[in-house]
Amino acid sequence: MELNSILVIGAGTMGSSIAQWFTQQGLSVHLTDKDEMTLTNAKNKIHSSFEVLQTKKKFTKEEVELFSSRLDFIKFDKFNKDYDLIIEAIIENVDIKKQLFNDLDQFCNKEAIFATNTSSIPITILANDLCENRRKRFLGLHFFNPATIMKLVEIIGHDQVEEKIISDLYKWFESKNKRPAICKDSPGFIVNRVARNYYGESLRIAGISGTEEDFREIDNIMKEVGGLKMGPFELLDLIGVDVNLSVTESIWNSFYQEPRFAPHRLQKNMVDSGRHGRKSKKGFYDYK
Amino acid sequence: MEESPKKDSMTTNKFIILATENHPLYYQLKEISKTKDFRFYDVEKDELFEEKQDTQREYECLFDFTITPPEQKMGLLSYLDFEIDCPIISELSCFWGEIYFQKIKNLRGAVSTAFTSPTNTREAYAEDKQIEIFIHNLYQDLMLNAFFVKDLEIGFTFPRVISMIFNEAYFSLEDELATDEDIDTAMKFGVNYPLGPIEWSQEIGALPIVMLLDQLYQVTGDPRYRVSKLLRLMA
Repeated sequence: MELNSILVIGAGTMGSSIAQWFTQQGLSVHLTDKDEMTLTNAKNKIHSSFEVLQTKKKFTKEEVELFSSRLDFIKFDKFNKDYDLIIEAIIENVDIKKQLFNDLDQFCNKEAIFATNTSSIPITILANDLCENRRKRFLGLHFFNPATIMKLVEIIGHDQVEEKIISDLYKWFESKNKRPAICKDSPGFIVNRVARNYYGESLRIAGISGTEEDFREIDNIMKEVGGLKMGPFELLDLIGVDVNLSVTESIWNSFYQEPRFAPHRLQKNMVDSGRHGRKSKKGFYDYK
Repeated sequence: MEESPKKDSMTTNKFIILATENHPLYYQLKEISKTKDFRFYDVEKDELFEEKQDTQREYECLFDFTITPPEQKMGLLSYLDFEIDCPIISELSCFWGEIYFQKIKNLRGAVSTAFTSPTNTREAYAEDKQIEIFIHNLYQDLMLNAFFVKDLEIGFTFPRVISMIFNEAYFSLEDELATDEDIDTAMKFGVNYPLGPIEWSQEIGALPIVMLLDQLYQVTGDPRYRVSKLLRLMA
């Protein structure tokens, strides 16, 4: 498989990071967003990241100049028809995503592969309204934040996708030092499903009246005994206690309230009382 | 974690180790008992305390590293409690610790070494300083560090959390969500797990994982602890 030109739609945290990673692989990348301020912020963030990487001697000056020349930040109505791969990384809203893909389906060349970076919306639902040919070229590519560092990309198929596209992309990502994992279209895919109980079981061990001392003990055990990089409560505070609860609720509901994924009252209480983690300066721990 | 107490010399031949072969430290325990002053019993092969004087001797401590069904474990500990008058420290990774401490008067400490991990630290629980020293000393002989927890519930924290993750990985395999290799890749490179859940669970062995989840299910009645069919088959 040869990929030369990429369009990334959505210049938020994930979209900008995905665009930067593809640029660093030597591809020509267009990054676009309906919100111009978001696009400008992404441009500044990526360029300052290039500078840092150059200072740290991860890339030479020439390489950074080449990356910059290959990455364009373009207005939403200005992108063209001819890309090898289009990756969507916009808001997690099924109707907005469906509308976007339907518009792209009519506008873009027939050969373009469409991919969504969704972490929670079934790929099948997004593929449904596309024309038959495009459904075969539509799939999920779930990157992990920051995409420039995290090696995993989950490749998510569905009933009608061409198997060859999946296997070719798998090989392509492998050749670029990513670690791809193929999975079926199922709630949470692999990581968000299997990791659910890192939080869920830790919350149950701490219990509804868990104290900071309990959270600290559990975090330390998982790091010192389990060898994990962050404890569950530290991670919840970093991700956002509210964001994590919303993902848990979504997966729990998608599995028809399967008890293994049930949210815990302690987390709900924390969200209700505004303890959302680092961003609100209060979570399982206090932050100044 | 508290500072390590200084190692006491175990030179008085006053320690007993009981183990079953399914314990991951079985051979290591057997080995150190040859050079250290431990009396080692394989409870499935050796006649326990066959010489009368064995039970009449004064032991400083008995370490129980058996992994057996909960009723059998309770039976063994009750027998030891009756026969030997010394503190007992038991492997309780897969068991409801609180109930054992309530029923076995000599049970004074617990260890969690049945779940291997990429680190050399394992949880432990001690009711007093002397028991903490015994655990520290044995862990040192096993090249392990102790993380002392403040109380015990069902299993220990690491086995409980990791078993739930393993169980979900096996449910995912049952659903044919991905291959075992792709599940391991995803967890290692998406969330930086030191090992993938499938390879990790195979290193530990399915039996203690299933035993712990069954115990959680039995005690709490919560269906979230239902064991994946595939995982149970492996046990």
